Amino acid sequence: MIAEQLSASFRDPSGFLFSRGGVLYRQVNRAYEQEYVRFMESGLYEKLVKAGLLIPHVEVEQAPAPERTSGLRESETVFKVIQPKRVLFISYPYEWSFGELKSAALATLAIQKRALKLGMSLKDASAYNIQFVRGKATLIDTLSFEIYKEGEPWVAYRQFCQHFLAPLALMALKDVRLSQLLRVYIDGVPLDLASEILPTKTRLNFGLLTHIHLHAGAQKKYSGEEVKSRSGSMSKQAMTGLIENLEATIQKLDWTPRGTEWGNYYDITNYSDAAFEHKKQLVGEWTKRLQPTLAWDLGANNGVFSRVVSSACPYVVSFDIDPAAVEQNYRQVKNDKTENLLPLLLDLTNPTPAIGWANRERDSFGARGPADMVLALAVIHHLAISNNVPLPQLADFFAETGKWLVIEFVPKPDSQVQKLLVSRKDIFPNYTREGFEAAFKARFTIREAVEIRESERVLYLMESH
Amino acid sequence: MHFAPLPYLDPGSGSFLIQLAIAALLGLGIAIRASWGTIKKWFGIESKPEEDEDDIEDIGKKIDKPIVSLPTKCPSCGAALRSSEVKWLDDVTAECGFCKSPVRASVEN
Repeated sequence: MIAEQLSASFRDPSGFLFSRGGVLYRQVNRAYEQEYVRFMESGLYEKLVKAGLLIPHVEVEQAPAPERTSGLRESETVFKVIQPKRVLFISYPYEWSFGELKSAALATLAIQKRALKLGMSLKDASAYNIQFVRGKATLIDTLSFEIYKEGEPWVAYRQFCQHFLAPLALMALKDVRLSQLLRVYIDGVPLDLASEILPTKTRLNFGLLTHIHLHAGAQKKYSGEEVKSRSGSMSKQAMTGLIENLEATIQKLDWTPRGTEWGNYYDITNYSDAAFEHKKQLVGEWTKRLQPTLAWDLGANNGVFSRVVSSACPYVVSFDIDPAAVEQNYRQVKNDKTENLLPLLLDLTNPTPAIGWANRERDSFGARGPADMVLALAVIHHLAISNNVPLPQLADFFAETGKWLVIEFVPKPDSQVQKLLVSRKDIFPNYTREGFEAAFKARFTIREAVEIRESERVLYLMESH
Repeated sequence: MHFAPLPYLDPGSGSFLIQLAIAALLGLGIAIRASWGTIKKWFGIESKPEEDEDDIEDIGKKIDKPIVSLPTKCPSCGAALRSSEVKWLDDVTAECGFCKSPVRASVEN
């Protein structure tokens, strides 16, 4: 069977990920043997897995992936092959809400603290090594640890500040939308840039002054200079102090949504309670009937309908364009300890692109699909009218995104549509129920079409063909 | 203003040096905290022994439950089993994380 090395996994000489027959494996190289054994035997692995901070794995008798880059023979490079538990949906830091990035940052520090106690240290503090597993920020790179040598500074400190502290500070203290800088800077927000954008008052905060402003200055001043061994060493106690200070600095950063873009959408729409309940009931019934394994709720707001789906579906990803709605959704996930719902930030009119080396390190939105079931409730008018996407193109997009589509048609007389048309010419003669059905029939078979009680809207269940 | 991008070289040196400076400052605080118990003792105040947050749970389990041990490998699929990772269906039956088949544990009192 063909083994394929994953394109996101090439930097670390300790090993890499590959997939064979649809199963994901991680090869541990001989170069990492000592660290791996120490990691497993020190009890750190078990401790982290138990705390839900690390993805569990089993060691397997799988043939290793053929080495493409080094000319060494297998026995010289391969130590072990492990099979990590599969993550149901891979998400990226620029898709996370403030709270999600903060949870990921705190999880990284919690791991580093536990590692130090057992004589190990994180050699990477990349936000991409954290994924949400059963609702919790979890480290997925088992090979991130090295043996801690007393006196040495934390090698991942710069990366931690760029991937976590800088974007969190920018989001909390300047503008929450600055998380999108992570989409441009794959190795985290450059500290000199963060230092320039952050308000001057952040220099009065000890943590931000040192870890961002002075850190940026030191980077500039000492760039390219060799650090001499006599320039000082760092005791374990000092290292713990540093980690705890980062922790306290991040704990203090906060962002609370002041009402979402849609405000209290559910209170102000032309939904009566009966219409809302009817919609919920239909979504619930259809989910139970279809038994999807993976569902995507596009335009999920704070996740009301995602929650209906999640009661009968193993995993639901709940996307919305509004950072406040995603944040509210994540807070609810945390509060309810929901394990199968992941709120993410997504602009449907400009979905997450593929980024990184050769544009293959981080997948685009579409490449992580298709889903079994896609929900598009009360979004069609935004795409067709606000964004001027013709209906046939919308049908194409949804057909590529999932097998089953639950879509709500919002007709023109609806007040929400009228609001979008208020300041512009109505150039959408085809935006009618008939036009909508005709366009979607080119890509889908309409299985159900139910008029929602006490409203002019129609809910469809469609199967792509 | 500086419009030049950061140098091509890994700017690790500055990150190392600033860490040393911050850590030196903070280490002092930690040292005081670490010896806080001793300082309090000088003043005749008893302090509780420090407990590791992870281990509290373990101690509880050891006291009120009989020792249940799982086979090291799943009899159906051969995947390694760790009692802390598997899902327990009842007190003596666990579910293999990989093939989902139930595995009986042996019980010693």
